[in-house]
Amino acid sequence: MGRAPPDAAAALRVLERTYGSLNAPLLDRVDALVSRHLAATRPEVVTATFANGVKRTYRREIETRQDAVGPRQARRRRTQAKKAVSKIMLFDAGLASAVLHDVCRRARSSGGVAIAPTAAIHSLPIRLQTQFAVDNNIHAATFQRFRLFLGPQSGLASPLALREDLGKAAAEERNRATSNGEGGYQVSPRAALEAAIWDLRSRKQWVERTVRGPDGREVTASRPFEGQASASVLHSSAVRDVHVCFGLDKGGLVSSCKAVLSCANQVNPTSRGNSLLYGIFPCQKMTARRSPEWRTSTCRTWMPCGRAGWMSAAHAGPCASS
Amino acid sequence: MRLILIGDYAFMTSWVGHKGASSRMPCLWCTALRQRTQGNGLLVDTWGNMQDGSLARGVTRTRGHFERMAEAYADCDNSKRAAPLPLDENFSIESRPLLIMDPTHISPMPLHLTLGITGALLRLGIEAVYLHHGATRASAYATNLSLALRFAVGVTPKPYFGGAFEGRQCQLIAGRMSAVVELLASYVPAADVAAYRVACDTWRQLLPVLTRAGDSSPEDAAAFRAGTARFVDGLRAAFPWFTVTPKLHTLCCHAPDFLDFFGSLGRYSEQGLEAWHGHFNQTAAGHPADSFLATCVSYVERSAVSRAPRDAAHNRGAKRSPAKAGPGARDAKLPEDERTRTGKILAGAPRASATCVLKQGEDR
Repeated sequence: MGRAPPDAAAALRVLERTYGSLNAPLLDRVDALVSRHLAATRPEVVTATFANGVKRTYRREIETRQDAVGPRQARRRRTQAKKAVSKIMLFDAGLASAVLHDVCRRARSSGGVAIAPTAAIHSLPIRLQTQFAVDNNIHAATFQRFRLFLGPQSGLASPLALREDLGKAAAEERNRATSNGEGGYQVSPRAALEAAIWDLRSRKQWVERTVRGPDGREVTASRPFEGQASASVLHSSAVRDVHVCFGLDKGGLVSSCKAVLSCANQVNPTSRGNSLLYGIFPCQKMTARRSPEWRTSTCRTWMPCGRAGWMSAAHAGPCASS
Repeated sequence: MRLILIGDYAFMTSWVGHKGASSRMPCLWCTALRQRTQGNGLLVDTWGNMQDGSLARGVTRTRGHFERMAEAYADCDNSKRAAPLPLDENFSIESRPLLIMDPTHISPMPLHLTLGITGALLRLGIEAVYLHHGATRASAYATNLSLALRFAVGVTPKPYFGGAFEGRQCQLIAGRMSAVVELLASYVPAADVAAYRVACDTWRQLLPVLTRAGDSSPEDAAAFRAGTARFVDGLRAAFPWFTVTPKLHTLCCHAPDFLDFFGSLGRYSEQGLEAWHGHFNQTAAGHPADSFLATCVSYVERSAVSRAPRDAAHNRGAKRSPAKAGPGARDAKLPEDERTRTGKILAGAPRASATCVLKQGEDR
């Protein structure tokens, strides 16, 4: 060993020939030399062949020294994370990219900054996670992959918890939807609209809207809008305005009509995320859709005042009772 | 609460029982007739002519008229009545209004105005070439126009129904109309090019006001009113064959009124309404069901859940908030209050409870 040639490969060949005759101190020295060699070269893969002919391959993996879990659990977690990441990156790369892009775009449009949490987020309510997953169209399996990747201590809810919370959320009055055989629609658009208005107020996103008189001056209103108890109560000029837009339009790849409600008392009322989808009505053929009779029947189907009574009497037409 | 009706023209007319854009009085806000013909001279003199541009002089529709029509058509539509109401009584309201709207609360559809007028402006150039040089050169101009839009303006082709441009592309086209004007200059006389250039410049100035979601100042509103009148009247004067469509009539005669009243046009745009179509296209596959109707119900439910949750979702339990106690309320976080761990230790309290001390002794 004292006159070992400088070439590492030749030294290893000499070592293979003489390995069986080495005593214990020399074997320790060989181990130390091999360890130094591995530390210096840092090979990605080390292959060892045992006496029984079994060939085992070792791959270099970097793991954090602050891992609190046991070695078996850590190994299992690494395997799961590896599978999850490979699936996300290989098969769902477009999905992951689209989701992240959409989240960043929303953050930018709302004036905020997209921040990725670096610590455990136990304080994040599950309802917000449900909202995030649904709003960004993240499938439960994808959500679970992110959860496995980040670890259970990240605070992300399990699929079971998400599913349960989604069921609870869908059962709330403002979220309930049903069908009458002609289209799917919300059971209580009034509750949905009220919830949207109070949410704007609680987030301090509410913007007072006024109208202008003939002289160009804004019509002053001193009393805030405190809700409208009855549809028969007319709008008072002393009460500040709540501008509710209602629209119906046809379109889509699978042709359908969408009825939409939105509140103009916010900065970006025309954004999709700031409007309420009241219902969807599958369309007929294009030729039928061009007829005024079909449009009238569609409008009558979506007459919101007849179902919910949220509209003030100043606007409710005579068909409300039909 | 004010209800503002938005959407495309066909559905908005359906809500109020109007016969639509192809009727004799096609405007939803006034009684102006489409154009003067051999047989409607008296009606045009009385109720206005859309082809007069900003001077159409149509009589504004009223909520009272909608109510009268609702009473008149309580049993059947106008066509099925024993004695149908004439045009100067029904004003093209020929079926029972579903909503009794004040016409001032009907949005002048800023998105559809943007789409329609941008397309009409481009088409006008092709018509001008056709008038001066015939179909062959008009076809060549149309081809060159599409190339100019693609490579000089930077508009990407979209497989939309009818070939309409989306709102953002319209903004792009309006901002770079000089490329289109330069192309047109090689086909038509200088006078037409000058008029076309003026119209394009005016349209470029109008578009930001038309699509702005924020408040417009009274000065902006006055400039918008003057600009729309100049735009439509200028086109009508420079190009004799040019027809004032219901959208152009809405732009110059009713959009300024809406802007004066509500202070904004883009805020009441149908952009969000159209965006739901795209979102539904993308995500409907994520709602598998036995029927398309069930998919629709699932989608409506999910879209409701995706909205912001109530405050209860953020409530992590009761918290003490000295700020809510009112001004002057004392915040009990000083050391002498003995409310914090440090304060208790400083006051001489034991560092651990008696039970804890006992357990520590047993462990030793």
